[in-house]
Order: sequence, then C-alpha cells, then structure tokens
Amino acid sequence: MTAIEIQSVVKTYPEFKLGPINLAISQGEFFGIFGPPSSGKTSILKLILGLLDPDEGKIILSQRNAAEMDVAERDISMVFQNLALFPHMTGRENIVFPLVESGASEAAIAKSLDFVSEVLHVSHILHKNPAQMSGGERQRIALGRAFAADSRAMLLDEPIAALDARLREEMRVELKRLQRENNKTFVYVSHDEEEVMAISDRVAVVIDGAIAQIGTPDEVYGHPNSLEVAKVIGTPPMNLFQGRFSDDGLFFESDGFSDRLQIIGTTRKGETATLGIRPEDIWLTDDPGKVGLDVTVSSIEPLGGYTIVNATLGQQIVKIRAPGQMQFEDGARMRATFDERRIHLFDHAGERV
Amino acid sequence: MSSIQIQNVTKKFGNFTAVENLSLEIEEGEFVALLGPSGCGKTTTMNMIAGLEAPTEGAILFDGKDKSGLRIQDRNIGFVFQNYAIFTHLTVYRNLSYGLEVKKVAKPEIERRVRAMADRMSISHRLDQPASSLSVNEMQKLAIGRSAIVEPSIFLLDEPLSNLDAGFRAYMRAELKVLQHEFGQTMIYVTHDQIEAMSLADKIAIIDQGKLMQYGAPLEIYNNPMNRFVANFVGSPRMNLIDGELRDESGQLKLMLHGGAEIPLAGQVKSDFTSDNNAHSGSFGIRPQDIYFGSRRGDDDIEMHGVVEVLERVGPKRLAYLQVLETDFLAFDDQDQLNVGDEVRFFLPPDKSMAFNLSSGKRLGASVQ
Repeated sequence: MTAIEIQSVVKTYPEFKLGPINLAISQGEFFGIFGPPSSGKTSILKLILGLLDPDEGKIILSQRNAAEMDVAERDISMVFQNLALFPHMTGRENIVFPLVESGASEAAIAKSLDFVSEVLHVSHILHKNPAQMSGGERQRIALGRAFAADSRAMLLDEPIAALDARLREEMRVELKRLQRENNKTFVYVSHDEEEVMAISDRVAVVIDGAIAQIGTPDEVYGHPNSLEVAKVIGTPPMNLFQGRFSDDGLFFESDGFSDRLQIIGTTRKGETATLGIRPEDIWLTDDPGKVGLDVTVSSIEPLGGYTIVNATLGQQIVKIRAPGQMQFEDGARMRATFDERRIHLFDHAGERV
Repeated sequence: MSSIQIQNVTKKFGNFTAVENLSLEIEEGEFVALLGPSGCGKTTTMNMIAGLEAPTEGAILFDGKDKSGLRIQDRNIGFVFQNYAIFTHLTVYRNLSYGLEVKKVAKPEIERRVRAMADRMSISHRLDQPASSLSVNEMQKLAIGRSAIVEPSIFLLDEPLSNLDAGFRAYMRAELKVLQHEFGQTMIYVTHDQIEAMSLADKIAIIDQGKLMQYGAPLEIYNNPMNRFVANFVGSPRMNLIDGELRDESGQLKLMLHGGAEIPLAGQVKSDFTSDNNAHSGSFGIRPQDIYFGSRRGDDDIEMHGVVEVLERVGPKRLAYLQVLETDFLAFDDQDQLNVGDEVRFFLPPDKSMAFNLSSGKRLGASVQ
C-alpha cells in the first residue's frame, strides 16, 4: 500500500528549482533520500509535511490529496537535525507534548509513554532536562516524541548527523529495528551516503533538485544509472576514466591506459565515453605477464580490515581497495586488472550505456 | 623539521583536568595523529604544542629544547584549522603570498613559490580571484597551501577535512599524505575520525579523557589494541565487544552474556582470559571479518547460533547483525547468502579473538606485550 505519493511536484525558488519530483513510498518502508548539501532533500520533506506548498503537482497521503489537508490532518511527524527539544521540559514532557496538545486522554498518554520508553530505552532519562542528557539520549527523546504521536509516517532530517561516528553506527541500526518492529513508514534524509545506503530499503538520489535515481541500495550501488549518481555513491568514490570506444566497439581506449580494455556487452562505436570502476573491483598483481594496465603505487592507506592503495594510472590517481593488510613499497610498479563484469560505462551525456 | 618530546604533561582548567600526565615522542618528519572522541583533550594537547596553551605540569621539548618562552610566531609552526582562517577579501594569490611577505622573502622568490604551490594544489587558474569565490574544496586546498608555503618546521592540522564531502575527503587524504612526503615536515593531525587517522598517520596517539590509551603505528594498534577503549574505537565496522561474566563450569570456561546467552571459551582466547585471576567479568572481542559461516575450519573454533536481524549495505559488502538472544554479533555476509530472519550457525576463531578485563579495560593474555 502506498503511504505517500508525490506526483510531478515542482517548487520554484528564486535561484533554485526543485522537481518535477515523482515518488511513491510504501507503508512500512524505510525510504532514504540522499543527496549533496543543498540538493533539495529537506524541501521534499517540507512539502510532505505541509510546511511548503508545491507550485505544481500534488501529494497524495493514503489516497487523499494533501492540499486539502492541514498540517495536523496530514498526521506526519518529523525529527529535525537540531532535534528541536524544549529545553525547559523534561524528557517525559517533551515526549508527550504532541499528545497533550492534541487533547489525548490521560490513559492514552500514559500508554503511549510506556510504549515509547520500552522501545527506545529511555525510562531512566525521562526526568532529565535535555541539557543533562548526552547527544544520544537527546536523540532518543526526539525520536520518542515523534513515535508517541503514532503518526502515519515519520520524516527524519539528518537525525543523527550531530553524533560521534561510533554512536551514529549504533543509532542507525536501532532506528532500523524500531521502524521494522513497529511497521512504520520512515522517510530518512541524509547527506551521508554510507548511512543512507546502510539503513534504507530504497534510496532516492537527489541531485540539483531532481531525482537522479531510485532503487534499492544494491541497485544504486551496483548499477548507477548516470555518471552523477556514480560520483556520489561509494566511498572512496568510483574511479572514472575519460576515453572513447574503439571504432569496432570492442574496446575502450584512454590516454592514460597502457593498453586498451576489451568490453563485454553494449558499446557505442567510436564515441567518447567515461569508464567507471569501483576501488574493490580492481585487482593488483606484481606479475608483469598478467593482462592489465600498468600502475605505480603512490601511497597506501592501511585501514586494518582492508587496504586502500593509491596508484597512478597515466595522469590520474586510481584508488584500489585490496582485501586484508597489504604492504607495497611506494613507487612499486604493478599490474591492475579491472573486473570486467563490474565495469560501468557512461556515454558523453553521462547516461549509463 | 623538528622532533617533539611531550614529557608528563598535565593541563588543568580550574578543577577540570583536560590532559593528564601525557607523554609522547614525535620524531622529526613523522606524521602523528591525535585521535579521540570529542572532548578527549586532543585539541588541548595540540594547542600546547603550538604554544597557545601552557602546560600546568610537565614540559614540551622541540629538538630537545624547551621553547616555552618563545612567542608563537617564532616557533615556526604552520596551522590549518577546520574553519580555514582564509582572508576572504584578499585574492588567492595574496592569501598564499601573505606568510612569505611577513617573513620578508624577496619578491621574485615569493612569486615563484606562490605559483608552484598554486600549481601543486591545482588552484592556479584562481590566483587572481578573491578567496571568497572559491568552492569549499578549493578553500581547503588554499588553507593547506597557505600554511605549507612558509615551510614551517612543524605543521599542525586540527580536523582540517571535517567540513568536506566524503568523496573529496578521500581525495584530500591521499593529497595530504603525498604533500607530507614531499615536504618532509613533522605533522600533527587532530581528528576524531579513525579512518582518517589510520590512512594518514605514521603513528596514532589515541586519547580518552585526557589520558593516552595507546601510541603506535596504525596496524599495530588495529591488530593489537592494548585495551577495550582502543579496540572499540579503531576499526570500521567496529569490533564486536561482547561483555559478560566469566564462569567456570566443571572445567568449561564460559562468558555468560546479558540476556542468557553464553560463549563457550576455547583455545587461545580461553587461556587469555584465564591469565588474569582477577578477571570476573570480561569482554570478548572479535572483528566482523573474522567471523565465518558454513562448516567448521578449526577444532577450537567457537560455534554460535543466531538469527539475522538486520542487513546493512556498507560499501561493497553486506554487514549482518546476528542476534543471539539479546546480544548482537556483527559479521560480513561475504557471499550475499543471508536473509533477514534466517537462523544461522557461525564461528568465532579463538586465535582471532581478544580478551579484555571488563572492569579495568585491559587486554588480557600472553599475546599482549
């Protein structure tokens, strides 16, 4: 069942145009919206919430046109990046605030508070003011307030961006559990690619006010449909090489390459193109007899579980993710082989070939 | 270039001890990262090296000499801060030339060095434009170039990459490393990001609550953490650290976990735990990539059973949260074979596991030097 549908929505600002946006978010889905800063992510949330009205198109909430509903009727709660907790209220008062405002009964409020304390493990901090809480605790109270409202959907705008890396990892899996155990619809906005990819059932990649791709994290990572998506998904980013297809369409040639690469599948004969390969899809060998491209190791980043090798290929630095803990001497000359099943090709307009 | 000796340095602000009895030897030309969570004392330590703060106790020596009387501008230290400190009203050229002008370097020499640095940082085409017109990424290059151009003997960087987007951060990491190789300066780099520290530094000093937790090369720290804090802080995804009570049941040592599950200890990790008679509660550590599925590979490997609760895509891999009653184990789903809800058997190889005393946090066992 579709919980939120956005149909051809356009919102125009003096220096920025959002849309047209088309999206359908299912009931119970964890839907991620990822994009660089100022790409229009938060505007999409504000349109759903009713803080902004679309200039064109419409938003449908459970088969009703949202334009005919006011903010309260839309029944959507939002968790902001700055949490927006009331500093003079305790955790408990913050959580029940929306219920008190909507005139819920004492019994309903108590029940909801019990539920929220249970799922979010906040019983021990309910009496504290936000100033006395840690970042993670404040985070849980803000989520608790959104949960207590038991709304149609929850919109989360960079809700854990302010936390330390370790705590962010813990909170993101906690969020995922909460969402799934309670079968809630979550719309989650972040500029942190790893976070969105880890947490979402589906992801919309927003670039310059338009949706560049929608898909599962596996699809977006494995088959970015354009050069611009390829550039923003994956850390370290995909290696990209400018070049052209050979006239017979069988090879990709690039100035920096010591050899041309045979291409399996569709090509555009003789046209210029960009070839992309992710750092983990390149294999290094010191066997000069192996088919591959000549590279020179410039530095390594030993990350423990794997090693990032920075190597020069022609005029360019290429990043290679090697498994385990590898040692290379700086300046070592190696052969790099691209996993031919994992080569991404983009035409001169940046569309996936 | 300078070596730096930090000797038993303590820094107090009123009743608050920001840095406690910290000692570090930084060799000439070394790239050292000060790594720790926010508020751990890493920036205070850097400020003391810079001369912005004076230690309450202890001394900081440069090439064996105490420079505490010396003014900051005479210490020949270069800075790069998180918030750039660029003169936005000046051109890119003037930003680069400023430090050299202050040092009264001859004009032709300034011009030569500015052009070389701009070239090095790929901002040559921007030299005549105001710095305010630069993108965030170019601004950061300018900030680094501006400090590097005066060839300071010590280069201090405080979270210089934290404002940048992930892709450019990865690129700048590699750039900084090359830069340091070229200039050969002693670099001290403050960060809370362990990936940054691992990828850049020759050595990492991990600081928590003002105390030095471990000092060593990145892989040394990763492979052989001396305490639970370091084990937890370094590595992404994080190491599994499973806390519980140690119990001996007729010769079978077990770690009893909260919620009723248990880890039957065996092999190396068992002897590590038994090496400390005082350990009643322990923490069992294993990195996600060392947990495996399928059939048993080693006689001592510890067999566990759990349910796949969450699967996350983390870069090229899928990370599985395996729930054993109330405890989570993180493991990589290398073959993309797991589904949420699956009941799975998995193994913990004892020689890749680590034992910690939960109350002191200390690593236990013979494998620790």
